[in-house]
Amino acid sequence: MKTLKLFFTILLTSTILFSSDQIPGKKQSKPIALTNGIIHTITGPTYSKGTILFENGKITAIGENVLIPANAEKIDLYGKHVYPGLISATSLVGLVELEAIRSTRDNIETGKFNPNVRAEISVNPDGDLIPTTRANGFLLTHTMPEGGIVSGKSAVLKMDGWTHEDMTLDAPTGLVINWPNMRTSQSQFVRTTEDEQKKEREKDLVALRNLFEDAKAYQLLKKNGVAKTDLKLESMEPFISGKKLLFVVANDQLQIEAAVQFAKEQGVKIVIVGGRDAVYVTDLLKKENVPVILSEIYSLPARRWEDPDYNWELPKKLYDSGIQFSISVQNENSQERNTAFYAGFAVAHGLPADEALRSLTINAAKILGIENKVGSLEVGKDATLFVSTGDPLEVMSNVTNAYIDGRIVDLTSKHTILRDKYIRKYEDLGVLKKKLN
Amino acid sequence: MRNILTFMFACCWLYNSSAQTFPVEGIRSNQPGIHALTNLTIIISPTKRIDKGTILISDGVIREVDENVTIPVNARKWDCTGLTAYAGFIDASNDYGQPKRPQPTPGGGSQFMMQQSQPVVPRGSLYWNNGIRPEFSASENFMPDKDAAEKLRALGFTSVNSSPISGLIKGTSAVVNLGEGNTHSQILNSNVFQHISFDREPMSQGYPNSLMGIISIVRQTLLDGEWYSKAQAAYKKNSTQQKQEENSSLAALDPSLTNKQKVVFEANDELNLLRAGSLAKEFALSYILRGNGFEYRRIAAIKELNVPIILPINFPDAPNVETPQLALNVELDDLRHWDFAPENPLKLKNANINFAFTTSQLKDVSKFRENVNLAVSRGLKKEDALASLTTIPAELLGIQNLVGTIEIGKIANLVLTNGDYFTEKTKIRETWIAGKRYEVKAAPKIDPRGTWSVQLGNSIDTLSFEITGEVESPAVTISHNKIKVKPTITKTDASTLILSFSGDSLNMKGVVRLTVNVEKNTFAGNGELGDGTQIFCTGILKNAFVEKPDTTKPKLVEKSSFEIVYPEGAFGYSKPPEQPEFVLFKNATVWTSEDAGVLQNTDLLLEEGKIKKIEKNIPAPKNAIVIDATGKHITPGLIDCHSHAAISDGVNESGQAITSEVRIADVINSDDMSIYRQLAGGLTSANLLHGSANAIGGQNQIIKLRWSLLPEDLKIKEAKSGIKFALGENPKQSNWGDMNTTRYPQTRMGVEQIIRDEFRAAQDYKLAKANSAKNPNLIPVRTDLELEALEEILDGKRLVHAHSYRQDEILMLVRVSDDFNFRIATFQHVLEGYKIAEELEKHKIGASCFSDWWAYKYEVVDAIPYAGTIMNNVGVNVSFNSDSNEMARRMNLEAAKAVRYGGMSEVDALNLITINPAKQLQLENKIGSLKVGKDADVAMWSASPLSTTAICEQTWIDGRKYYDRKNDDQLKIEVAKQRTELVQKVLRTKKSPTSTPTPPTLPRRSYSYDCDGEIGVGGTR
Repeated sequence: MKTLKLFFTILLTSTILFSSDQIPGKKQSKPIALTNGIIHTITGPTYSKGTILFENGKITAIGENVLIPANAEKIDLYGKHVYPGLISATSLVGLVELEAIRSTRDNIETGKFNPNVRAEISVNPDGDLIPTTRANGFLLTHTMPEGGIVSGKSAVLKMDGWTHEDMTLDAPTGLVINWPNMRTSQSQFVRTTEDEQKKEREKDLVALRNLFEDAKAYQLLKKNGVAKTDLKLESMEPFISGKKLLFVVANDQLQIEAAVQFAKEQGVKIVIVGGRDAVYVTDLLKKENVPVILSEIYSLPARRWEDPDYNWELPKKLYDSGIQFSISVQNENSQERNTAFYAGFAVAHGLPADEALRSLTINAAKILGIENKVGSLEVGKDATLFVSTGDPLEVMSNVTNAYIDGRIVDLTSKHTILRDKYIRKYEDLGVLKKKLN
Repeated sequence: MRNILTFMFACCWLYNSSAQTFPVEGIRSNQPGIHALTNLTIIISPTKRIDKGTILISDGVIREVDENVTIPVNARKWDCTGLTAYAGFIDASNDYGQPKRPQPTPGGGSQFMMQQSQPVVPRGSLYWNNGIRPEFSASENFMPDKDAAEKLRALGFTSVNSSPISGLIKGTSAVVNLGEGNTHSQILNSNVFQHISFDREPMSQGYPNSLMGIISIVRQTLLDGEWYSKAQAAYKKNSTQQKQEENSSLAALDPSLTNKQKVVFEANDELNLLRAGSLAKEFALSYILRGNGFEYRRIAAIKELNVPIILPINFPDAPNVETPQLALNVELDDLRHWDFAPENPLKLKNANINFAFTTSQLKDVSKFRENVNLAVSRGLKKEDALASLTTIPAELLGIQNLVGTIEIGKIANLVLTNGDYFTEKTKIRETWIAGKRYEVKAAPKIDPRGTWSVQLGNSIDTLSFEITGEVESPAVTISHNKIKVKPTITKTDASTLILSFSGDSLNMKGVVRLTVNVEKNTFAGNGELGDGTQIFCTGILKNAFVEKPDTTKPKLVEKSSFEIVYPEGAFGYSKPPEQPEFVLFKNATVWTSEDAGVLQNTDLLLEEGKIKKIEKNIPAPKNAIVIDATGKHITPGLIDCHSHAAISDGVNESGQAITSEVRIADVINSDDMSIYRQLAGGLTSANLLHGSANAIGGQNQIIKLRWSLLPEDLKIKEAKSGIKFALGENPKQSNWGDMNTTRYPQTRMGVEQIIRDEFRAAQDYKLAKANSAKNPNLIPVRTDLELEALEEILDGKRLVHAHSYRQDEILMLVRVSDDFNFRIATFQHVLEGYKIAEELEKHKIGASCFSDWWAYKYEVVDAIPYAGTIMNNVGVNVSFNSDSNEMARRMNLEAAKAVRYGGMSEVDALNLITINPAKQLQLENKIGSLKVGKDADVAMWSASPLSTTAICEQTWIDGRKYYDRKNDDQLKIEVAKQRTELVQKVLRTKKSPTSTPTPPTLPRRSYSYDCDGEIGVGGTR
């Protein structure tokens, strides 16, 4: 027992020693067995004293009596918890480094219609936010371009890798559309009149329809071999055919209604992103079977009269209505690592705890169409998982180990490096009254 | 006999005086000036009337008012049978006849990004800031406006206190008549009031660009005005010293400062009325308020000001609720305001507040009368409404001897109606202004209604014309045998009817046109048939029209549906929470934030707002409210050491690099929904800080979240005042865009120097004051509010809270504080404080930081979530703050991050949001922990407060329950119920359901700010 503990300590320490500059994990070369842990499979049973075995990046066995191969690296978890990697379903990690600094922003291409641009192409694998995000269990992100009406194509990324190609799990995952504002604003920050806003909206909606209709015509021309190249129309192919999803950012009731109607007309499948007013249109969402990525649950209520808990209760209300949803953080890349805590707060407001976890794992994977690879701990799926001291929905828990495709993930970050640097300063000065844990 | 004498005297006066200085151009015009208006109903005053009498006017003055008046032979007689005379109405303040303000560009711009302090070009001897223009004279700038005068006369107005439009201190008003002709003769009185407005000036120089900046500059100007008189006097006595500056703006303030002239404060919501009241009190000004229609929301507090109100009657349009989707965005307080607004005058009257109606603030002036009548239908007495239009404004303006009633010797300003003014159908026929008649709408000379027998052209057949409807808008039906035709009518004047109709069915080809002149019993006319034939027509009245008794049911008047709550709107309380003598929480897990740590199965007793006992098994005192807290956790009420909630109209006075004169205390917004939302998260106190646009920003205010109370009552009175400093990117305008690259400072080097410069100036200022106190012959030192604040810092009376990011700038300010020997209470944000924790510890400076914010601008690249724990472990007093109205609702989870990052103990982590911020604000003897004798501010949680599963169930402040989740559930039901009811009421009441009114523009009541300024608006406004 004692030797095992020692072994475990050495293993962890060595990780830190050799990866302090966050070197991507080496390809899994031998089987790894995490034993004696509480294994939360999400889609199957939770094993309270279980083992999970993975080999060549894939999960090969889970259970309480798993036969561990002789060559396997065995890690005793001492009652810690194992979860599938969490998914940040609306991510900017890798696309934006420092919001205020223009040169570090690669999320918005100019122009209103950019169906051809690809999110994964401008992801910087050495960005500082990648290590801090994965250190909280978010091993996968759904990275979405922003801006305009059609922002571009999204991709699912693994939060480790030497290149963006290493990191890409799925691309294109979907087409990101910002639904035009269906109301007018009189805010002093809006520089156009209400009439101008209305006209602008009508123009945008016509252009959006045209994009889809032109793309269909373009495909026909192409079949007959007479289409001159149009990258934008060409890139629409998987979206007009319904092979791939539309992620429509829509918060207001009128936006959601219009977007769902549009998808119905076009015969394509959409996901509502944002979904602030989703509770007012649950019947429609249910009827049309539209899932929602709730990215506004940590926001203030949009209306003064609304319940102060309105946003916190969104997940429970969608759950009660039988609408599939995920919980995410949008537009704030440095806060994505806190998404699980927001899901935890939704639990405090009535959402069953296992549903909160599902919203960050299997349900997110299903919404993104990647559930055959990730989102749960099942034999055959990617060994993308993490070990936690407790419930990841609780702020006070901590992630102790993580694996992506069976590769060991370095959990250090710029933050831990600076922490260690300055602890050293205070140790040297002799002013540190208490050690950090 | 007496009458005749008076009259003769008047005639003499008429011929013996020349009232104008203007030379005559061309032929003189002297219209007869003696008029006798007979057979009138005369409403002499709101309480006195003559049912049938005569008014005799000469030379623009009323000479006789009586039942029997001897009419001089040279008078022009006006038979006014059927008419009622009221004294001409007076508008105590509107912008009639004043030069229009240049229009700002549509949409404006972000206050933070666009409005920059521009270099000031001095203009003559005027004040340096173009918002300050007390020297502006409405009288000098007055120009009669024919169209506007006609519109106002059509409502019954004959005089207006023409008031300046632009500026903050706007200048003086002048009472004018609404007549036409010579400008000079319209002016009754100049220099009436000085006008001060808290509305943001669209043409300002950049400073001030916030409400608190506006209040500050008004305060500073009034101080300057006081100083100016003293300085002038001192210089007169002793001219062997440097002369004070010449300043005609300040000179113009003297009458107001010495109570010779009243000040009108123009306020656009109920809280601004109270702010105006406090400022007026500060300077002992004699004042009047220009209200806004929201007075009902805080009527008791407004009553206490004990001043009259010039009251706009600007009732909002019904909100657009045609579809459920549109209704979704209509706020409950907008619906309620629509419901309450017409009763605002009645509520003021019932509170014994004197008010005069004004047309100002009305988007459509022609709606004035409709609104007055609406107020009357909702309970305001007619005589009170009339007084608000006549005697009250006359008295306010000090011209009650000239106008306001129909009495001998007063100016002949009259309104003549065909009935009761406060009845919808009544028409205003004419107004008389200074004895000159202005027609509004003449009565028809003849009533054409009835059944006429008509002969048309050569036709043998007799037609029948049935004329019905209103006298002024009759309807005609032409019938022959059983055929009926309804012609189109254009009526040119009282006795002419112009008709056209299709003659086919009457055997006349094509469209027939007729012009008919109606006389008493006959009419005659001519016209043309469809084939071009000219025809004559004649008619004989067979049966005169008989007015049918009005059988239409009186319109159902719906009174307001609900009671007023505080603050008005959703989640308001009908009264402040009570303070029970004893409150006993039984059997809780008590987090004391004291050495005792966390106590299990413990009771907590509150007595009259203080913590009385924390022990196991406390017996319940008599009458105690006992709360079973088994399984619950109780913590001290949480404290947010960096908040921008509950601030009205601008958190950043960004117009200058130093704004130490502005005060958050002036602009506390007790209506901000954030207060309620944050109470729901266990927060009880907040340090409301100015923004970070300036190296030295404004003064902060610490409040308790006493939802439902007034701004003044939110303040923690014992709290030591403080001030916001800001270092780094924000004061040097790094992220303000390419337009903002020249204001000093643009570097961290400059930030240091401007701070040092200001402290040196404050030292000089202090010396100068001391010197001046010793030498009464010298011109006194001008009180400079900016430097006063700095002096208070140097004297240890004001705490410094310094917004900071990088270690270099933090260290810089530490050294400045060393050099000037003042203490910094906290560094705020202090993201790199962990890099120089030993300095903070040594100087006993608190660190008030974010738990884990980073990566949003360059100066946060090295921010780490371990910072709080590291500083704590070096011995620095650390607190976690929100700087966000959203995050302030869940401070407990922020504290939990210190456990996650660095393994702080849970007890220490909770202290980050309880006792530690209390110490930083020097309030640790009052709030921040559960200790006998301290304020009874507690939060009760469903689980361990650091768990995400914890929900705050109750929040108590001063032993009063300001939030209760169970009560909240009731309020939610109430909100839903009221919304449904009022939406239905709107749909019922609205005249035409197809119209799409624009949403009402209401003052914004909730703002959301972070340090950088406004980041969005709570609610849809």
